[in-house]
Amino acid sequence: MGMLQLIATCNQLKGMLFIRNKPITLVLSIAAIVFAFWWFFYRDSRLDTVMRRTGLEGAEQFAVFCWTTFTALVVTLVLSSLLQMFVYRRNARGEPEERIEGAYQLRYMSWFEALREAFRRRDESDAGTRHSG
Amino acid sequence: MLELVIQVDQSIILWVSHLVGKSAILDRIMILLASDYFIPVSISFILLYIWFMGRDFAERDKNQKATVCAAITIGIAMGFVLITNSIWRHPHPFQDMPQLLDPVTKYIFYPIHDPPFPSNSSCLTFATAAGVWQFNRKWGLILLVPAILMPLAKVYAAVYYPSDIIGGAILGILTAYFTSKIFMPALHVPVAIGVWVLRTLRVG
Repeated sequence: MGMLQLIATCNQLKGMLFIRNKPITLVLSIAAIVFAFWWFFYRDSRLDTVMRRTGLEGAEQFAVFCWTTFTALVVTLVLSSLLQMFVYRRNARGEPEERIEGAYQLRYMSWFEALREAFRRRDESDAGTRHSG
Repeated sequence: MLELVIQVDQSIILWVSHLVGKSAILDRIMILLASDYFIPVSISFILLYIWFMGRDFAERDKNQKATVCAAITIGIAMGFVLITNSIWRHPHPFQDMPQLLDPVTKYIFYPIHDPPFPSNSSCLTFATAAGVWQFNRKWGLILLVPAILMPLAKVYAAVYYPSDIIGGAILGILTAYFTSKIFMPALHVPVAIGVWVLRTLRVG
């Protein structure tokens, strides 16, 4: 989650941020990453010769990384959307200069709003298709 | 020729292993760099960062292609490592020179069981760097730093011979070239068919 906050603040994805202050987010996200590495390496000896005891094999490491990244992404998107709804209340929302799709919608809106926008666009597109057909 | 390579490999390992235990700071750094977790996870974080990076659509598209290319390259390269491992086997340095096992290998890393040639960690890191480099030169060069450091730390730990590392690096780089020039362009065909099928079903 620290890495996702770092990405969000460096790429101005405001809809993904927990804290809207860039220096504070930078410091906290780097601290979270450093703490995560420190906790991992100092909680147990990861150089155990009996690998199965405290270590992970390559495939396990891949699965754990994918799962934790996915979980962190979902938690970040939901939590930041809730913060946008109840705390920031869209007071700092800027309008996009162009029609943006994908993750970069998060520069201008929260994930919940981006989802609503995507469904609205799909409904419009379906209505247009039916009308023309 | 092969005997000459083995002789050079062993003399390099013996020279490097003399450094172990001389400096506590260097040993701590090598323990961290040789670890199975530190550099692979750091590289994964960098790939995640590259995915979101870019000022405009064209740059983001290029960066996302770089990430996808690196991920596909890693998968294919690990398959090639598995195949090569089953064809060609030779002992690890700590098996050829058992005097290094306790003071060097067990101190810096651990005695691994996977076949050493080609080095899978070298193949993984170079595959990632070369995969990204095909689409983003700057980040490809940045990723070259951990790509070099991790295999070097494994040589320091007497886990791999330098030739294992070079073999893994060559395999990773060639796989990245194959992925970006042949595999990824060929991916457009099934993707285009899938998009066409989805559009047809939706209109119907």
